[in-house]
Amino acid sequence: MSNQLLGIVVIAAFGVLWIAVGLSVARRVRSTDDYLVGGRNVGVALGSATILATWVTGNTILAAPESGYTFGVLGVLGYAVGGGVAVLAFAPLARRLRTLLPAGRTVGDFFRLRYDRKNYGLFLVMLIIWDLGWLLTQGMGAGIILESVFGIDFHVGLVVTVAIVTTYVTIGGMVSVLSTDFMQTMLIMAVVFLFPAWVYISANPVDVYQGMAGLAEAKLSLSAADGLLFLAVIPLIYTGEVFMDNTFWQRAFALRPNVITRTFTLAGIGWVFVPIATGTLAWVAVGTGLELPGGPSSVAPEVVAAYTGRVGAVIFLVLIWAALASTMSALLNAVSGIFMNDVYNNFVRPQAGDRELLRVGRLLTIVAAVITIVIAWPRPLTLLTLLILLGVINAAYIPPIVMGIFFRKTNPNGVFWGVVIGTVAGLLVFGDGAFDLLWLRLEVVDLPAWLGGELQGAVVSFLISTVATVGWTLLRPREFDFRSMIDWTRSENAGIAEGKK
Amino acid sequence: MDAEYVWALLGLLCLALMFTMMALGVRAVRDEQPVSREEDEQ
Repeated sequence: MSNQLLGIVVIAAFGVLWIAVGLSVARRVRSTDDYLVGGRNVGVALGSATILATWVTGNTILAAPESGYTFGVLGVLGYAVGGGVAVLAFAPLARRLRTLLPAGRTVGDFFRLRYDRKNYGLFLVMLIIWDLGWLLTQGMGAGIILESVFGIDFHVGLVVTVAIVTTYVTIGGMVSVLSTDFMQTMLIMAVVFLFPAWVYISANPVDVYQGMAGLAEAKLSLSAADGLLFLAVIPLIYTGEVFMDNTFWQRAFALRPNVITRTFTLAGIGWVFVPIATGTLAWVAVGTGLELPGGPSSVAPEVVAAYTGRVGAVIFLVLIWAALASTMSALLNAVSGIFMNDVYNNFVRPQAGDRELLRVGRLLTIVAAVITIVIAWPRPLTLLTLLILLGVINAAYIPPIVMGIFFRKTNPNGVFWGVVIGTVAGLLVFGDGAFDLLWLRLEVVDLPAWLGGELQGAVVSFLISTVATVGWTLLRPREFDFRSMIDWTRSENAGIAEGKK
Repeated sequence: MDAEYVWALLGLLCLALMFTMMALGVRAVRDEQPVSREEDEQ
């Protein structure tokens, strides 16, 4: 059986399995609440599994090794610490917002109720850009994996993956996502125990270390400037991702209130081991001078294919497929949630009933899937570069979210201008004086060399957003009554009654 | 000093600011029991 045919058979078999599982639980979906937050009664085990499944992405399997390849030891440490800290830091926020917003479904609900219309509109635009960007990375990851392991054309892999995931998410929403997440998490965890051991037994850790010391000694350093910068900034970017992303807010709304802290803590700690396991695979490539025809993003599948043979490559593919599918399903559900709950239900048809919203939500899931394919088609940027570009937006939103959840007097104007100026300045720093946005580059200003840099962009956007939000609040505090959020129910949206079918 | 080291320090400063904001926030609401207007007025 040729490699390509084997790949198609494997993907088809798992695709059928995920769709079957997703469809079998889809009949439990009776309302928009079920579709978006799965009934609000999820426990610790399923909760941790779905958070892990969402946060272990194609990036964790592909970009963590890329950062290990680029920055060495500090790259792996930065990636692992960054992602784990982000989930742990969300725990107190999740607990508070569950109390403040018992009827909440999306992060958009929070922004709409906490801040003014201009902030809400801007946030929705930024959130959609961020979520589509994240979907793009998962789509690209699927294409890269299938291409490097099985020689399946990148575009075919992209379309097939998106089509399979879209099928079960469209019909069953969050309920389907939760069911498939649990199985996918078990498969993903197998990566942590199986592959590093398999590769290092074949490659010999001593040879790898000596190779790294000989070929790329800087990658072993714990004091290299670029590695330290990565270690410092990635936690900031990842915390911004978690704080502003609807997938995590949906999970906060889906969990039983008394298990929120425990669930996010468990998931945060558990997550750390995955990028450590996958990231260290890159050191084998560095230490042995392995050639990477697919570029740094493909270092993990190339190493696995080189050292574990065809059987190992097939199993690895299945595990990465699980990671990609689980994240993509969460994102599609989250993006359709924003479109239907915030855009459609607030700006287009506030009087829409539950049945109409469900129909629209399903349609918008398909729209989001098509957009994913279109923007991933030209294969822009490396995965890690794309994450860091989007990180400029993520970092800018940390102060508005933290200050908005905990402090009564946060000034919405400070929030708005902090995000706008912070994001613009951050993007200029990221692009060395230009707006460097996937398919186009617009030169704007000449920046001195020390002021430009990819990771530096997120630092600038966070600092400006913080100064503006905190400073404006201290100078002109604006009182907000949190009771208005607690009191808000869906029946206050014109024409919508809670539980209306 | 290499500019990247300075940026790394700024990055650490950002993390410290972020955690400080969160710590102050958690402390500010620690003794608060969020209630609806109706419960508050009773």
